[in-house]
Amino acid sequence: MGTLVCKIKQSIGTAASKIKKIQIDCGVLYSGIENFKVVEFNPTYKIEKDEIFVIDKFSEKISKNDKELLKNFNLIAINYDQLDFSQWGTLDFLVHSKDGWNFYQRIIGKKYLSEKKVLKCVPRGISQISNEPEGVEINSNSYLMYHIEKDKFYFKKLEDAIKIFKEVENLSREATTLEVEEFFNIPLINNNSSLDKSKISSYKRKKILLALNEFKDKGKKIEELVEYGNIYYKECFVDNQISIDDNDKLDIVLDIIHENYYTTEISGERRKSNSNKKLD
Amino acid sequence: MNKFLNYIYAVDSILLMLYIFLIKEEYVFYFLKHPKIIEIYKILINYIPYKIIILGIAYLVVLVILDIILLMITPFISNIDKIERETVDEIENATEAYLPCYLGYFFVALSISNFQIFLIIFTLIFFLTKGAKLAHFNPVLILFGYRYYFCKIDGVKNLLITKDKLKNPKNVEYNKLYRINDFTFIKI
Repeated sequence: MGTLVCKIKQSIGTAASKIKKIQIDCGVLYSGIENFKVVEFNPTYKIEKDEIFVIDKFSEKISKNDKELLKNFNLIAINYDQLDFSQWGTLDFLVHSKDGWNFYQRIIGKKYLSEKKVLKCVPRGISQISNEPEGVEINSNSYLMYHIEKDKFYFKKLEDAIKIFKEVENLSREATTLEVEEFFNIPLINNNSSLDKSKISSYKRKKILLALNEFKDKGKKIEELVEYGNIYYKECFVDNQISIDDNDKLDIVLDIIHENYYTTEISGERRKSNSNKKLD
Repeated sequence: MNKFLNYIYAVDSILLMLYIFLIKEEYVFYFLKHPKIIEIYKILINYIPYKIIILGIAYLVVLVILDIILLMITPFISNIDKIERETVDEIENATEAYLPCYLGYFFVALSISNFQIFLIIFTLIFFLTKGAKLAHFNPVLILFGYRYYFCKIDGVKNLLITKDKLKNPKNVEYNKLYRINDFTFIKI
């Protein structure tokens, strides 16, 4: 049995007080991920129709406030206040807890809430004119899911995920000016690089941030990258450094850091990959 | 409708105060002067020679009837809730916690002799009870065998009214509870 709760738009109050219960024991409302291939989230990767992004250890990556949204509402629904009719218009998004999963759905308010005045006939023959909202559409294909036990968040559209968990944006953001400077200061890159840093595209800035994370998270060493880079682009290296004078050189450095160059096992062909997917 | 239920339960929980006051003042409501009730009174007075005891029984019967009606309408106007197994962290008997508070109500009812003053105090206590959320303690429900428990679920304290004897928090499981307010639930 599942439980449907919602988060309302309210300027004051704790995260818990903004969550209201709508109904317990609701049936199947949202589709699962059974038919999707799961791809580790990478902002530069474009997912196919049959793929879905996943973020591991999700609860560690979001704010303390948003952790309230990861709870199993099926177990603790009793703690939340019932959604009041007067709060109906302030619905922000729905959360459906079922079988250890949380499903999220954004509500694109005005699309589903009727703005027309409604004439109602109530018992005792008194008519009322009100502008009551008509209803909210349950979109079974919203594809924003969280597996409570595995602590994994699955989503298809980044903009939808950001609307619910703002911190997802940090995982996909572009490198700031300071971070671009930091990138240009790594020993792999020549200090006299003449590329205009202000003209680096948004896509490349995202890749720069990911490249910096490669050093922090995976502990890649400069010597190893120089050795690897020399196999494919020996002509670019001067004193074990590459001078980034144009966008092509920047691409080469980024591809070296991301290890996008490879040699096929059987035919021995040298290739470059444009997007990567980790194999299980 | 849930708010309406909250109001009735709040009034109901302090009705015993009115009961004490009416008996003390020996106040007889108009409906008790109905010829048939007077006939019953004449029979009863042969067996129980104290008018005040008969009055006490009569008002208690009215209170019990009111509570039966309340329990009967609750499922129709309340939202349904549930408690899943192994989600209750702590369980605590709440009956003792309310007894001193109720004795306070009794003393107030006994010390006031003016009906207008009583109404003011009654209204004031009603708003305090309604605002306190967790204070829907109704001693008449104890006569029906109901018990009061504080259930701590995920750090939040809820008041649970049930006829069951609860001891082990891990075994607490209810699939159909009625919500009186956001913190008080009753199993009918």
